[in-house]
Amino acid sequence: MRLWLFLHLCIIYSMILISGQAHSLEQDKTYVFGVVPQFEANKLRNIWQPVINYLESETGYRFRIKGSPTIPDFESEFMQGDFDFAYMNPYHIMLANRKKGYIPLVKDAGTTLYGVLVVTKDSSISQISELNGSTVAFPAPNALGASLLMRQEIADKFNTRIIPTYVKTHDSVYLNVLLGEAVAGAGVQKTLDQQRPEYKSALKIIHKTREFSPHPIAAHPGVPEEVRQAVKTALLKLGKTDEGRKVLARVPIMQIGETSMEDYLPLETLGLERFYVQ
Amino acid sequence: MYSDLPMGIRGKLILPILFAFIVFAAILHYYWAPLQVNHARDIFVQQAGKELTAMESGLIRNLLTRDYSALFATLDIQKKLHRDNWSQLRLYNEDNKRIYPLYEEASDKIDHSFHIPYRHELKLNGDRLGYIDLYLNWRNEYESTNQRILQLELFLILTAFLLSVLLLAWQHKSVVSPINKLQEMAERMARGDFNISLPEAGNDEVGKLTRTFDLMRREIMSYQQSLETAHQETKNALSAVAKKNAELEKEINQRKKVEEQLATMAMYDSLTTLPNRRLLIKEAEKLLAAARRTGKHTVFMFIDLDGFKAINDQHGHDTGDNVLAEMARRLRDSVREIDTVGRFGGDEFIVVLPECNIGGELKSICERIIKEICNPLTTIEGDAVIGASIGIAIYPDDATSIQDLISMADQAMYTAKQSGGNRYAFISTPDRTNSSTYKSAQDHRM
Repeated sequence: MRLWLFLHLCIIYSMILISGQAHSLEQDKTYVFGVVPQFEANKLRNIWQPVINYLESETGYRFRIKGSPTIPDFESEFMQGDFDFAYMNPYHIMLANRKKGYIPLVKDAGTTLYGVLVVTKDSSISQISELNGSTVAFPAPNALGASLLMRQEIADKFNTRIIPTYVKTHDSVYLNVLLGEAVAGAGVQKTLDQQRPEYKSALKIIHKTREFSPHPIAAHPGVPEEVRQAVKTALLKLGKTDEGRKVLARVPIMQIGETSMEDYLPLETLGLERFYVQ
Repeated sequence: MYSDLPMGIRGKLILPILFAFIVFAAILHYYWAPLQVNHARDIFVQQAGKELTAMESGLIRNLLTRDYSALFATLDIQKKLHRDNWSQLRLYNEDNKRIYPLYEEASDKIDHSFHIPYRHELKLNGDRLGYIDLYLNWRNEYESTNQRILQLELFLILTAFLLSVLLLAWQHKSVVSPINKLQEMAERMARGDFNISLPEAGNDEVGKLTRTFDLMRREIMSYQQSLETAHQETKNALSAVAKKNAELEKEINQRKKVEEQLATMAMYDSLTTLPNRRLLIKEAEKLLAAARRTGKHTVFMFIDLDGFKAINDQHGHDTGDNVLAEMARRLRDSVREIDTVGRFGGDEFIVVLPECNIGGELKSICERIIKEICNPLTTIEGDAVIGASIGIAIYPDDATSIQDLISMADQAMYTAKQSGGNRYAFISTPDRTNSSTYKSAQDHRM
């Protein structure tokens, strides 16, 4: 009996000790924050550093931005679970959730995204089926709205074969169309709206894809629940002040809100992997 | 030719410097400056070429990937960066289709004097992928270059001008001024002023000229001095000659005087200054010759002083001489102008009276003579009475030769003296005059 009591005491003590150590380990840990490299590194750091500074002061935890040279690098990193937190596109969260169980925390709740297919205004083309065998410009193979979803719908919904050409940016897509280098081009409504008026007015939309939720900030499932919760709370709180909204607007997140995997599950059923280019 | 130009040495020295200065300025402005401008233009174009080359690879990548937004961004940035220098930037692809700008823009005005058309080919491994066309506006570059060149030009021209002025000043000091001074000295020398100080002489030609000039000055000075000495000597010699001449002249005059005296002495009586016997006879011959032509009477009077011997003995020869001289004067005053009075010897006188009226005139002359002679002698103390015995012979009535006439008159005088003196007597006794003559003589003596 005495031995058992002693052993129990030892176990309890050691558990207390371990938990104390564990707690102190949690306190000392620096969480890695990944950001999809949609802009060049310095610009990303300028956008995100104020957010990180805010999080550190608000939660008491420590964070570190981890940049990735390219989108494929970023993809392979989250597939390996290198990030504790990450800002990624909707297709990425689908992959990341499937592979490592990343949990979306917040997103821009004010908007939904959808892809647009444009031709020049004076073009005779008015529907996708007329594009059979034509060159269509896309910014990149794996851009969700402008490329994956668009190509999936062209193929699956309209049963049309096009020759895709990847011209790096949404702006280039529109210019290729305007220059006649491509018969049509795919972008998203948001980037089309950003074009110069004379460009935009020279283009017409012939197709819109289904709507989907914008980029989430997701957490690795290994991050303790209270930390995840603290970060989520802090980010939501940030959206409640004018200054905080300004900081988030640069991400861009116009109206921050809660999200969950529910918002991104519709993508799972489309078989977008078929259109993904490694 | 150059030395014929109508200007001073200063002008001739200024002219080449002025010419060189103008040529320098002209070359600077019309050759060098445009060269610099062209050079700047070339560099400007090269610079543009380099900048286009620097962005070439990015543009080619963008073209190949059709990343027109990046291409447009690059070109937009370049256009903005070079907005002062580049105009109408355009990019064409391999099919000569204009890619940039998408729409024809309201183009800047092209000033062909400053906008240089430039084309940059975009090539990858020798394949032509397109080209960039633009105008390089080098107005600003030109203006700043021009400004720089003008400043430099101005500086160089001012420097050249300053150098020219210094050169001219130096020339003036070393050439013009010494020559002017030499000229001034030469002028003073020409006026005869040799007391001059010459400018300092260097080792150049002007210095040599100055030294030579000084040498010449000294030569002339010593020459002039010797000339003056010679002149003085000549003058002295001449004055000596003149003096000698004067002496000679004086001597000659003296001699002449002596000769004249001698001649006078030969012809005239030194005591009474009356013609002596010889001159008297000579004159008498002339008068007789005239009388022979005219046929008129010529009267010969032989006069002997009465009482002269007593005076001579009593008062001495000097007094006697004085009395003789006085008597000769009285005698001459008593006869007519045309009559000749001569001393015949001792106290004997002869008077020749040409063209004489032997009537009243002869009588009155005789009476006047006796009267004059008989006037008292104031110069002699005591009783000194002189008288005159006159003997008369008449040509041609009494004789025709002088000897005869004189001898006859002497005889007649003797007769008169015999008769008591102080009277006149004829050798012939013409009725008409005889008695009255005596009477008269006697009357006179009274």
